[in-house]
Amino acid sequence: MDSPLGGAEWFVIKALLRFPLWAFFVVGALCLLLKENYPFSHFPMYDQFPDHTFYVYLADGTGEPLAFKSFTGYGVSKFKKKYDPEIGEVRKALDKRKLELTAEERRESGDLILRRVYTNASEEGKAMFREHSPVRMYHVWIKTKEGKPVEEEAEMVGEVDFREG
Amino acid sequence: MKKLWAWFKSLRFQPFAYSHVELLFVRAILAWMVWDVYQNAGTWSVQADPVGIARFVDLTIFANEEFHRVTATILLFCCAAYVFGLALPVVLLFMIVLLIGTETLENSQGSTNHNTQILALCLIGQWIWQIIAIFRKGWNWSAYAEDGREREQVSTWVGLQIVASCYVVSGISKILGDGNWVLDSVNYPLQLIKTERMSYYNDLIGHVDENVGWLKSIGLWMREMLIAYPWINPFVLSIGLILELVAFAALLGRVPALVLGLLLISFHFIVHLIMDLTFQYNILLLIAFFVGVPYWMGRFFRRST
Repeated sequence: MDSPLGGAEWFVIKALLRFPLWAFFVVGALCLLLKENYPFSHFPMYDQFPDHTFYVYLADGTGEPLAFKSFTGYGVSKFKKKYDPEIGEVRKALDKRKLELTAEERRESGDLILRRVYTNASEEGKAMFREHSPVRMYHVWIKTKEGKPVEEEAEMVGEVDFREG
Repeated sequence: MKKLWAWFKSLRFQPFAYSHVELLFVRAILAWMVWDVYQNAGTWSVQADPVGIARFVDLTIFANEEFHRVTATILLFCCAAYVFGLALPVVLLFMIVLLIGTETLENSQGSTNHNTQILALCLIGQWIWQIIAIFRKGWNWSAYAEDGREREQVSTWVGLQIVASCYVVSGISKILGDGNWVLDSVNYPLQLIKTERMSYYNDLIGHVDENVGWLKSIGLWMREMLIAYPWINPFVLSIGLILELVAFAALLGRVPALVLGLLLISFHFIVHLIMDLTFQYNILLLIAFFVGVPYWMGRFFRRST
């Protein structure tokens, strides 16, 4: 068969054609190897079930919860996913477990994420942040205690006044 | 019994004989997904935590309004050409560039979402196949030209392989993760509470509301059971893990693909009811590649006439 390819490239193509499941194995191997590098992923959603987890929420200066999505257009889960790696870095630096970090130790990460969320918000969203400033971020642990899930009291881990520019 | 055994022995890992209607159906679903993703692209002005090619290239241009407006118009034509199987190597490349650009930017904000990776990998796999086909047999403008259907059958088979592969990878990640996934899943109720609370703080309404339909009521009841009796979780979640690990069996033929497709869609739907998570794109990919709607409809109508 005529081919503009050299011997080595043609050999690769012929090998792929003889092996009908090439895409299955190549993509599987690359996903496991490259992990979270879009478009590759090892799809780690819910790949661990630790005995503790947490969620975060947005509140105004009095601690009254705010509807996060109306400020940003996306959900709280994305907000948490941005904050989680930041406290992961703090954990590493302090050589502690995430659970052992105090609200004070998580404060810098909380402020940073609030500012990042504000930066990426639409003009309308930014105006809402300013209107409700100072805006707070709360962190709530959920833990398994004696075989049952228990929610702990909310801790303030961020507070930024966006009126200050 | 003999018939069943004969059928079982006949199963092979080989491309399905897709009709032109089915190929068009699959391409239409993929094109709509790409269009939908691009229409709902984020407006990120920074790459806070670059992943993939964002480590080397500034992708914030994909959030530029003018750039988005112009490329969206071109994308619309590309998607239409893709659906009708025209100039596939060219239009696929354009769709891939836009999809990877916007979604890499989206995933470079310090959080990862897993909605579009499988779609992107499917398109890349199909494009690679198109290039291989050009080197083997030359350029082909249309899926309806001579040998066009054969090319498209393999292209769709490649997509099916990639979807199956991603499900298996997801299962393997659970097995390779820290701890014992099955036994630790007694802690799944924590995740249920977390997602319910986060859903509430999205809009201060949440999904646990009194005016839910009967289907949602079943989901809420299941959720309450899983929280109240954590020992149920390893049994329930193991079903999902097994489905992911055996997803490769969909490559054995139409019947395994249909059965696995319907089971995986059901599992996604149940998780949606319980956790209020959406699996819209996963379900669409399963409908496109696994379920084979036009094939089974064709068989049903042929039999009834």
